[in-house]
Amino acid sequence: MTLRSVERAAVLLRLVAAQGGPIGVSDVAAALGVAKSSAHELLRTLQEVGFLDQDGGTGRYRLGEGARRLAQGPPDTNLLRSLATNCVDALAARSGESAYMGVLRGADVLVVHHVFRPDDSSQRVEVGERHPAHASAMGQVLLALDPAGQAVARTWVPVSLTRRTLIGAALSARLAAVRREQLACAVGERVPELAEIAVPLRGRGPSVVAAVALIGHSDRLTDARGRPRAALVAHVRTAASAISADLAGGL
Amino acid sequence: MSARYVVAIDQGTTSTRCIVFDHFGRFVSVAQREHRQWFPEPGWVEHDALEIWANVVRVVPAALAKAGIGPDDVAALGIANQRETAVLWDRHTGRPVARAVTWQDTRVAPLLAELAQRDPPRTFRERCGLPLSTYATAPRLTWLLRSSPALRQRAASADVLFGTMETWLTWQLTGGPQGGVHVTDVTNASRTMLMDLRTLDWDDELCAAFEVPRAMLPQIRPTATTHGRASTVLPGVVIGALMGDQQAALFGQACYSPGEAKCTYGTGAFLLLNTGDQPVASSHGLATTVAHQVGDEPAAYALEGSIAMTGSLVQWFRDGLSLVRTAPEIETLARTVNDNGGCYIVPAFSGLFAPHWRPDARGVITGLTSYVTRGHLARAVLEATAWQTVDVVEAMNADSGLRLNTLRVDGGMTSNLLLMQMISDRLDVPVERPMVHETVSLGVAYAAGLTVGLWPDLGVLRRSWHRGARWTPDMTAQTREQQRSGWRTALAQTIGPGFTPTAARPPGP
Repeated sequence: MTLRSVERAAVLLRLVAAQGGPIGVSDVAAALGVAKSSAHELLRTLQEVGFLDQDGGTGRYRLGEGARRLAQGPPDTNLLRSLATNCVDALAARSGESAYMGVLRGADVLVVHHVFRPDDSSQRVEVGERHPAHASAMGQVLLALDPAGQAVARTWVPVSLTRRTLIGAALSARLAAVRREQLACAVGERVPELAEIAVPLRGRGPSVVAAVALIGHSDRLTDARGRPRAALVAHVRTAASAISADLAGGL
Repeated sequence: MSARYVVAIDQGTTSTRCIVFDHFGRFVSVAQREHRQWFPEPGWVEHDALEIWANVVRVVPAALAKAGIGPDDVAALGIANQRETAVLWDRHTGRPVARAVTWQDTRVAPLLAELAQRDPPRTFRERCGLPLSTYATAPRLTWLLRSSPALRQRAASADVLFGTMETWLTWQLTGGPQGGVHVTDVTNASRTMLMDLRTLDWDDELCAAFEVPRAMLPQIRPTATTHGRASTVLPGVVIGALMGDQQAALFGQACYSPGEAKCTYGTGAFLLLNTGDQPVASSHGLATTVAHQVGDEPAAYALEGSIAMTGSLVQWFRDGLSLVRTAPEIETLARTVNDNGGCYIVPAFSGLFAPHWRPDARGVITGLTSYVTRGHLARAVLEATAWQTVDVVEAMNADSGLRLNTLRVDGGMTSNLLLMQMISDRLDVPVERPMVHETVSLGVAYAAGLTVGLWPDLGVLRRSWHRGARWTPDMTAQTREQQRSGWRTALAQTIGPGFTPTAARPPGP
């Protein structure tokens, strides 16, 4: 991307915002003094990142949710929990494991929701606790996929918490795999006996706003080869798509 | 494959929901439709019973489709409902004779003084467990039947039938004009003011006092029993339970033993305490009600305390004061400060409910100084819910001689973790929320499943209740007493000079 196209994108966004109603490709091309094909490409790109919405009927563009949210900062964590409550309960009930939701805060994952493992054993609410992001599955999801996380992952030097914590090239390789599979499984990387299975949560648009995870004893969460159990992965993925739908409606 | 699912219909005040549960009591799917609220005059709130029936006809197949199952997979159907709402309909046409008069409707207020003369209210109350108020169904029937002599005549000849929502829906589901079953259950009947709590049958003197002909009343049945078989919507499926929504929530929370209680936090809050197989009369402004009756077993009773404003105070904070954008964000705002800064809010917007019952009280905010920020106000809003809970629990402890040792909670406000901690701190007992949020639907599904043998007994249901989260008290006795005194000072100011709150203190250890 050239500096010129960044400048054009900024002008275009201002143009759409000032317009008050939807705007068509020809108007944009005329206002920016570019060819219709360039205007179209610019509009498409801004639509893909959630800054513009296209009207299905007329094909015209208006400001998207992503642009409106820019100045608001990250979603309120109590709102996130409230919107996700029913689905996270169902995840814990179906999987038989503790379910969590987390967001990235600096180099940590902040736990914003926690539902007990349904065996009525003694457990405490862990909301408000922080897990070092690189050593937790939720953290790896957010470092790999949350734009803020990607910036964090490039600049800071993580430390080992257990003998299995990944750092350096091994962590980079893991994050690449997480990006590919849209799934993180961390076994004993933060706490020796715990395994964690996490997937991303998206609100409206493509950006990742939080992660949802199952965390429990590695004997229960992984098979003999240390791989996450397929049934649990399916539960987390199902829950994530249901939560993402609820977040899209409520954020 | 044999039928393994239970379908619950939750016919609520604003919407009708259908929820499918599997044989582990786990949530499978939900479908929901809202219905119109009619406000024909100030204080009147009506529903169209035909619209609600049409919604049932739509949401049940929708929930089944989402679950990927058919009527053959359904072992039983249960109906939980908004309580005290009166439907009158023509048994020959199946059409309501007027819109349903809901539990929120206060048109009978001017009638109450006259009705109170008929019988010392104490006697009403001893028999039926309820104070004479605009909540109960009976005065609504008095009002409706007085409105038309022709209607009264048709009611006396059973050409016009009365029912609360579960009765109306069961009648429609079992054939309507073609042989529909006209039944209610003990929990719903206990909210009418027409049932004797001990005999669990309609009381002739109460019926006479409220001018209600017995011919129009449904038969009172246990909560969990075979009420009939659906001939439409879910053809052939047993209707295995009918239950008032708050009692259903108590059942869904597995509060089957004396001393177990739940509080549902919504717009307002409803706290019910299981008091065992004998009704406990209240001397602290609580209602005595039937908790459930499973088959031929003796009925279990409950004390009930209602709090008018809990979630609705948060809504006011959001919409009236615009201090937060969404209700959950009040927790974020409240956490910007460490305490209430000396500020207390008593939300007596339309009077004080249990245990004070002062309709003349009005809301107050006390302790305002320039130190107080919107964060402190947010705390005071949440603390008001906690202190109102404490007042009801202490009245219950005093009436029942039981001592609550854990409070089970449900409803939308349970996702506010700060509030849950505040309640635990101020009650000085642990607070627990279940893994399944939908306790009303779950409760009636449990009861319906018991009827058809999907679950053998209450013990199995108790074991299938799982804790989703738990909060334990984390406040010194000194702080608690200091805050309590701040709350009570504010409470006194809702009435004006000379009023001393009479809330009960707990019985000694």
